Amino acid sequence: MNKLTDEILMAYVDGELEKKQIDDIRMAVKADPDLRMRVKKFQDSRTMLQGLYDAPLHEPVPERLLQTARGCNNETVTSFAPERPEKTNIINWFSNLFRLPILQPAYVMMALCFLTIGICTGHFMTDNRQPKQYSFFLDSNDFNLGLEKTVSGQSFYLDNRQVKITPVSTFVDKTQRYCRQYEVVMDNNQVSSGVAFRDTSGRWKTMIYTTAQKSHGPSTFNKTNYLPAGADDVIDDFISELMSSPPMGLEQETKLIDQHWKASPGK
Amino acid sequence: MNHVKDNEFGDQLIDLLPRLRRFAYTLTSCREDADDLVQAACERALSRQHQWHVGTRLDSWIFRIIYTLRVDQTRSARSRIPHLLFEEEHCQPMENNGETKMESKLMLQQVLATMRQLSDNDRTLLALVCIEGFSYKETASVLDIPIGTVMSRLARARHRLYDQVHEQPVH
Repeated sequence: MNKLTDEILMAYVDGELEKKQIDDIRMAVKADPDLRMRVKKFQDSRTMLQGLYDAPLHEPVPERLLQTARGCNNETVTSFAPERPEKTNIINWFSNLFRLPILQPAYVMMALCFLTIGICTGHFMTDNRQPKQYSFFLDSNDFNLGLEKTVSGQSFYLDNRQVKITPVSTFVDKTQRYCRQYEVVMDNNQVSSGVAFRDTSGRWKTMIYTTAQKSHGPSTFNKTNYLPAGADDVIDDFISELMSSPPMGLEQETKLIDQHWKASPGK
Repeated sequence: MNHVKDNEFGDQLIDLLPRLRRFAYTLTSCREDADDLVQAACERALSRQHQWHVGTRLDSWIFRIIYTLRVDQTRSARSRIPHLLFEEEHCQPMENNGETKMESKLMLQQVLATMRQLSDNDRTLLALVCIEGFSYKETASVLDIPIGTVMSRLARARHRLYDQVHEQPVH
């Protein structure tokens, strides 16, 4: 094999090479500690940038930018104003229906409180607490493929880039199954975390899924249930209970991914 | 045909705004400058939307506009001083453990500081490939340079980033 330049090693790390080249380089890297260090440098330089500038993805877009993108300058902003009377009419209609005076913020807050209590009560009383709202993608092939092929710290996207998923760690559980913790960022800035195990057919099945909401979750949890309350501690406790050995390093993960997770977790 | 309805174009632009802001933030290291840059890019994109070919990637096209505007900006050297505290406030490490959290925070600060010291060209390449996930080919297309140039510059940029992060003390 020709001399492995930095550009080639970098392309190897970035998944830009053909399979034949990847195999050749993998063998060379395996045999040469110096090459391993050079590869690690490119891996680390990529990993250290992950999430570093993500703040704009997790916050509302400033109104001035939205207006610009809509093609409105400051003078034409008022063209959005006509929506307001319509909303007011609906509020008035409700007011008239229940013979209330014009709705004030206090009434709205009260209504919202009752609504929230109602939804939460209904949610926790049902037996089948599956994450329908936030996890429509968990059974998808793309999600499965993403967990199958993406190393921790790197992200993959689903649903036309509206859902960003980043595997966080990989470990073996006490029943000798491969498990992966992952973070999900939705386009509405909803941040969630999950843990999935790999079943014998090669499907990644989510055992726990939490969302970063400011509500109080149940004090105990069942490993197959969806937990709407999202303290990170819940996931951490779950993992520490589940894990049989420390999380794998990136090198071990990469090897497993390359081998299509065929190596037995017990060995 | 190369026509798309104005409102469809605007909708696609709005969908892209968070990523455009992130890209601009990576280039400028300053949130306010980043938003000014995105605003200018949106205005330019809207005025030139007839130049965008339907079926091609809108994000690449607008990233290119942002990059071009940034080059113009730095030439006129009117950039503001980066708002360090604001950025640190918004960059939270992922780990929960106290000690690890501190280490992660220090590492983030080092990486941010190093990124600020890199050239605009380096930052742009790192932003497109390592943050936005563009392929080398797509990056070459955005920057209008040969793919070989992308690779050699990017490899050097990553060396510089790694070496400086592991050399410099935390400020």
